[in-house]
Amino acid sequence: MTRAERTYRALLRAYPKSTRETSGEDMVQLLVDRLRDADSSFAMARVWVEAIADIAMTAPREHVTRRRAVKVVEGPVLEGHRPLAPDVRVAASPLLLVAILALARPGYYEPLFDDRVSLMGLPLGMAALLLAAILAMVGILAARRSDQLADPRVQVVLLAGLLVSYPVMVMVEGLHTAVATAMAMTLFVLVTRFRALMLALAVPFAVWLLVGPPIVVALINVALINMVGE
Amino acid sequence: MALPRSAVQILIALGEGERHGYAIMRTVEAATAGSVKLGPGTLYTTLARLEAEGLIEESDARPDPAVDDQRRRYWRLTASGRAVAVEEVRRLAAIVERARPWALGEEP
Repeated sequence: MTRAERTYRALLRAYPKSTRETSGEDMVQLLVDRLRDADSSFAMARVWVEAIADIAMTAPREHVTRRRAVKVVEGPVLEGHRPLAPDVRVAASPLLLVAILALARPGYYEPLFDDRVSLMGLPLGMAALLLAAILAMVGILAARRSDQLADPRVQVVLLAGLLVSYPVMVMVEGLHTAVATAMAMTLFVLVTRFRALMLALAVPFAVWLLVGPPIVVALINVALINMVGE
Repeated sequence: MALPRSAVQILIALGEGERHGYAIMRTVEAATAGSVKLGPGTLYTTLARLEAEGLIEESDARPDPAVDDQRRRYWRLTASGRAVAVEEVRRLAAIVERARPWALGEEP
């Protein structure tokens, strides 16, 4: 297999799996034919530009078409495709929570912007919020490919990843609260058999939005006391 | 039935006879003087759609291994695909006929 074929096959991952299975080999063959007939470097570059533009134009349409067809004909489980709207609703729910809290208690999120203690060049609260958002995004992407999560080894690794934040919670909130939260999270993840991993990761994000500001205040105070002590 | 332009071009290209994907692409490109270039994604997703709608079907014909790659899939029009292609050609011809007097200065 040539490098061009490998590259193009990688780009074809933009299409739904069913499209790749039906037409992937034909598409690769067509690109190879076109590259073979290109008589100059410029012509080859042009073939690549057109092929990439073609994928950019047709892949989103294929996703929409397949998703609609799956919804109508087979239900949302065929080929691992799931409707996007419920995932977006769950992903956006923490933002709704922020809006409600910000309206109900103006100034509640001010500690997140306190830059007396920073992490990764950001105020501590914002850095933690960013990490939580990345975690939630990873959860959404992982959950949408949940067929790959059937492997128990993967589940253990993911669970370990979820529990990484608990030592911090032990320091801040105390052992009992941290253990109880960890157990609840573990049970939640096991009961849902990872089909709702997205929820499992979006929930701590939402919890952070709820309890993050007071935790940040506590962490900043501890850091400042240590600095003064030194 | 409203068909996208790429689908119409493919049906018309297959009206001339069985073709594999690359040949369809080149036929369309030649017929439109290079103004329509079907990329691999456009071509094969459209072919899949036309097949699902029963307008084309895969042919059993395989090229001579000495001449061409036997893995190539050849496509042909079904009876309903031919009817749709003829209807599209008639529709396009009628548009051209109406436009001839003012566009090309020809007598109606």
